[in-house]
Amino acid sequence: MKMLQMLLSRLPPRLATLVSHVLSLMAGVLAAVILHYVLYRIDLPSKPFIYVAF
Amino acid sequence: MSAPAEHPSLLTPRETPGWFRPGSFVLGLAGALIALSLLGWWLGRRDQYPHFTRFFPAISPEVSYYPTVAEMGAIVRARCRPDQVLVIVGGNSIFYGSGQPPELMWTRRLQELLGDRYCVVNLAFRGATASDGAAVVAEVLRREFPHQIYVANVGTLQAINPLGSIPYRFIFWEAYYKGELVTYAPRDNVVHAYFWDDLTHRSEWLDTAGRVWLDRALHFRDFWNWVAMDWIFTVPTSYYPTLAEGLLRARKSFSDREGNFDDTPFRQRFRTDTLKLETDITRGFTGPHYERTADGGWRMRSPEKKEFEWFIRVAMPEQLRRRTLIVVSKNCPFYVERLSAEERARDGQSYSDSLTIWRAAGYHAATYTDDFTAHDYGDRAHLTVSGGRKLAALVADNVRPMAVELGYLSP
Repeated sequence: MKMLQMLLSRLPPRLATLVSHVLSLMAGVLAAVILHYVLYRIDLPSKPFIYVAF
Repeated sequence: MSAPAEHPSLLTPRETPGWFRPGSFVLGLAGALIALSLLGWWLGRRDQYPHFTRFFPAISPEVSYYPTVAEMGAIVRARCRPDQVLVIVGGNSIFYGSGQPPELMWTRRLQELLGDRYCVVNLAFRGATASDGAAVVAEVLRREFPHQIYVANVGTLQAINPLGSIPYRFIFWEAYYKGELVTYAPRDNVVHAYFWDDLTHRSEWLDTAGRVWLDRALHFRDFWNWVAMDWIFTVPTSYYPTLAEGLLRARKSFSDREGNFDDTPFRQRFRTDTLKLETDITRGFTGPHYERTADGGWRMRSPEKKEFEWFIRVAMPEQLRRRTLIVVSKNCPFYVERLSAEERARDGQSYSDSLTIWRAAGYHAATYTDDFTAHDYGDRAHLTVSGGRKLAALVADNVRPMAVELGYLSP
């Protein structure tokens, strides 16, 4: 985070603002993908189905 | 006059913009969720199984792969035309075709016998019942494929649960809470009783319905099933011995490698060390359900009979029962012949009683003909290729008049 902050501080203010928006947007996308996947995994039945013929 | 621009390095930390912008983060989160949801919705309606034969273990709940109702609907849509009579096959491993390789499976023979005016799709699962996934999918597709016949098997005196069996109930819940099933008050009452009359299930209602509602909005099941099918499977399963096969391999890279009972000699299929056990199981199908009559005959016990009648009426709305063919599967004669004469009489009567009860409830019903021999069986219950051919003939002989009776085809 510190490195990211340092990097931003070296950029022109307008570019730094734009980059921060893009980074936040990408973080939001990543969070959405993780949330979507977690919902899928939580949704799976917890007990595995083992088929036995009798 | 504008102020001179400051060099970035002269900005104090206080003036440096933070990298995190809550507004953009929320925008990214919401936008991606909407995009994933739309993708999931779209992918679920694509046929993900170009070489589909049936739900063999690698693409079934046995390896923690849970096909969705939309996926199964897409399988049907990709193979059948609305002008054909859709024949959806459900039931357990017998109708799945255990012991019959894909090129020789009985439903392929059924398609050959019925011809192009019909389209046969095998949606049976191993260990499922007649009210599980295939029945649900057929009901969901009732408007899109109004000319449909649902065929499934049961054991003698085996009723069906309106909610399906536990391992495959996820399919029923999905269709039920997405509002895709026929509104049928007796079944609604069973759902209500399941959650509210049984204390052990009361806490599960929000969990069960909530998951479906969330998926209805976000379509995560369809999206991640697509990832599992086309790219990488991320749910560990003990079904396969190696991690690479069991966990990582895309599901579409697996093929239906069902073995052939005929590769095993008869004496090894019907071994003496399991003879008593299998005969006892055969006996158990009818023993607990019958009592002797005064004249030495057999009569089905009244409570069992009433329960059976109630379950099969509640399991499906009347209009769906009329287009359903229930096949009562028989045990292998190799074991039935080892029962006593009285037990054999009881066993035989159970089939005629079963057919009478199913038909009285509005279903079409049939059972194996007398020409099924021990060589048509791979074990006590499952059929060999030759048994599958006889089954296909039996089902075709029942499906054709049903199609005429239901007004799908002219005589």
